[in-house]
Amino acid sequence: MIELNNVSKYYPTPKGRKYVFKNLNFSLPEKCNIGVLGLNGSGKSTLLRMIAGTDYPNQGQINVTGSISWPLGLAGGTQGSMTGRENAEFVSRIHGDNLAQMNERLEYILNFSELGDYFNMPVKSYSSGMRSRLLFGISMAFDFDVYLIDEITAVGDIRFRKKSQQALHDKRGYSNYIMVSHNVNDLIQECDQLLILNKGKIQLFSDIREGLQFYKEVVQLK
Amino acid sequence: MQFRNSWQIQRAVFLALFIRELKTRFGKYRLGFFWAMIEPIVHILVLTILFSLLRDRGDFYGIPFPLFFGVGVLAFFIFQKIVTGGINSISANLGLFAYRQVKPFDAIVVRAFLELLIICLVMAFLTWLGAWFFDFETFPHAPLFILLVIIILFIFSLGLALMTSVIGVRYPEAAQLINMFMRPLYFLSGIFFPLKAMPEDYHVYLLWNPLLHGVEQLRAGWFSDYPADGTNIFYLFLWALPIFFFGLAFYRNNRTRVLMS
Repeated sequence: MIELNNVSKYYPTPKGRKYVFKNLNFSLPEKCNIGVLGLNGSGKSTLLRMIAGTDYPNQGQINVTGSISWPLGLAGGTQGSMTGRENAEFVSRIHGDNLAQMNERLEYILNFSELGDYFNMPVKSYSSGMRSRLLFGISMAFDFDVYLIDEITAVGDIRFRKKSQQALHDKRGYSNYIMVSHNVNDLIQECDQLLILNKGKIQLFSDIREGLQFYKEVVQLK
Repeated sequence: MQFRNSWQIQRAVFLALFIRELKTRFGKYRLGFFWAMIEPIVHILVLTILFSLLRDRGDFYGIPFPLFFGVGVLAFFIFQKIVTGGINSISANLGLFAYRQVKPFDAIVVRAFLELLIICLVMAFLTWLGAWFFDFETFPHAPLFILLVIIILFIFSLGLALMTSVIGVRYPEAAQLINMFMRPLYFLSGIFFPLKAMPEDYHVYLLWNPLLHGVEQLRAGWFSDYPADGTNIFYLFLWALPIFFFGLAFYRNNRTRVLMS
């Protein structure tokens, strides 16, 4: 369950507070995949980070039950001076794995991310695609109730993207995701509900096409 | 995913960060841990040589100078390494705070603990060296008291590290000042000379410095008959508690801001 209680988020600017969200009260539907759509700067990433617990609202509360992944596709999640393996080990440890579980996961991550020898090199030597592959591989090695994904298209090349989508499909039934995307086809195919961020407000559409229509006619034309 | 209670999560995070700190600090070299100990040992060695050139008699109260100086400077190092180490402890782990169970607080505590551990190992080494090389009874005569002094020094330093870590992120310019303060403190904390060897007129002022009390009290616990009267561990404790409290409060007040920069 993800619930927003009177959530406000603003950034201080010299001209006063710039609100990203103001007094949001919202409860995200469970057991379905949610697409998130909004203009640049409408707070999509901020919302994901707040749900992930790595950013905080200035007022109000976000209540979460169940396990939620870290936001995929955003900055952070790796430490450049550590190798891919060490990063993976770190994530495995903070989730309380024992040695056998860790080895299992490391093997999965190495296979999935296709990093090969790079797995033992510092992450700062990675290209952005390789870094995304590592992070995506790590997150797929765990079974979260909800995955937070910011632009899955950012994950490597087309082939790897297909693989990622397949991995997410394989988790259907026990894992869902909240995905930020601008790709209309993705939203129609992958998501059950559509969340539209518009001027600090959130609107939920259970009919994706209806939501897209609204987005085209109301949000974009301003 | 199985349910874990808060303590299980906290323990897992501490362990993961501890191993991460170990690896980045020592993993690059063979015998990395040995190298971490080398730095304070060389420090003690170099200053011992310098000092014996400057003074005819190097010892106080029959304690060989390297041991007298070593114990004192290590007490100071607990403070210095933890406080200056705090400055970068958040920025060095910024990428890892994307995981919701990992908080800057964890990184600060783990780093401080690691610094303490290194210094304790050097202390053990010094004890062995004293017995072997100087044929001096270096095993602390009041080990429990030493433990107490170390714990209070740790609490004092951790409280400050909580502040310097926030300062390091939010006011990097001011963080430079922290390093600058360390130099004069080094000379004002009774590391080279015992309090008794310093001019009596200045005692009133020198005794304000809580570190002087820590340094002298640690020696008093280490060497029997060391005259450390005038200093008081309780005084250091009276500093440590409010500093630790304000450190926690300062951190808590800024805990969201340090991540949002």
